[in-house]
Amino acid sequence: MALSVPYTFAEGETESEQRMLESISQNCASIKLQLQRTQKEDSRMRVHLGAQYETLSTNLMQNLNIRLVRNNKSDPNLAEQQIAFASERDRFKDEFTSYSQELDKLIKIDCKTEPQKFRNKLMLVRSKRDGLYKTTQRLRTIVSTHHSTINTMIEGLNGKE
Amino acid sequence: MAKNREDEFIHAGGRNLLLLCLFSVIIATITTSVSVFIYYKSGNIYPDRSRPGYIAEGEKHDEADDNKENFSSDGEINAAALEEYKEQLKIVEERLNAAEDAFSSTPLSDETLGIGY
Repeated sequence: MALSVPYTFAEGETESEQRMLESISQNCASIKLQLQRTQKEDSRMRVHLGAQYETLSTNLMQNLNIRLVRNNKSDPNLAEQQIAFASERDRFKDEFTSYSQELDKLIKIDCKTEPQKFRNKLMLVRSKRDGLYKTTQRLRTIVSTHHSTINTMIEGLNGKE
Repeated sequence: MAKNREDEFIHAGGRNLLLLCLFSVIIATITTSVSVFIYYKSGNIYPDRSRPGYIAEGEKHDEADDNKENFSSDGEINAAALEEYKEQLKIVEERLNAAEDAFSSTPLSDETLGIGY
C-alpha cells in the first residue's frame, strides 16, 4: 500500500511560494472536489454550447447561404462568416478535448505530496481554459457580426420594396 | 477399438470448444481495449453525458426542445424571409449570451480553489 508522505519544502523557495505550496498540500481534498465539480460543469457546458454552435452553423448559416445561392443572391460576407464560424467551432472542439485531458491529469496528481507538480499543471490547465474562453468569445463576436449583416440586408430589401 | 475412436473424437471436440471460448474471450478483450483507448484518445469521453453516473438523473436536462431552429434552404429571399431567419438567430444568440461566462477563469482561480487563502 502506497503511503501518502506530506510535502517537504526545498531550500531556495521564496516564502510566498512556500505558503502557496503548503496551502495546496493542506487543502488538497477540497481543491480536488472543486476541480471535479468544474469538470462536470464544463462537460455540461460543452454539450450545451456544442448544440447551439451546431444549430447555428448547420441549420441557420449554411441553409441561408444555400438559399441565397439558389436565388442568385449570394453574399460574400455571409459566406465568409459561415466559414469562419465553422472553423472556430472546430477549434472549440479540439481545444475542449485538449483542456479536458489536461484537467484529468491535474485531478490525478496527488497534490498532498506533489504540490509543485500540481501547481505547474494547474498553470497549464488555466492557459488551456483561457484559450477555450477566447474561442467562445470569438464565436459570439462572429454571431453578432452576422446579426448586423442580416439587419443591413433587411434594410436594403425594405428600401427596394 | 471403435469405442476408443469415439472417446478421442469427443475429447478433441471438447478441447476445440474450449479453445474457441478462449480465443473469443481474447479477441473480445483486445477489441474492447482498443475501442476504449480510441474513446479516450479522441476526447469523446469528455462531453459524453451517457457516461454511467457522470450526471445524476435529476440533473439531466433534455435539450432536444432547445434546438428546433431550422431555416429552410428552399424558398424566396425577401425581407420577410430574412426577418424569420433573424428571429431564429436571435433565439440561439440569446442562449449563447446567457452562457457568456462559459469557461471563464473563475472556477480555477486561486481564490475559488482556496489556494493561498
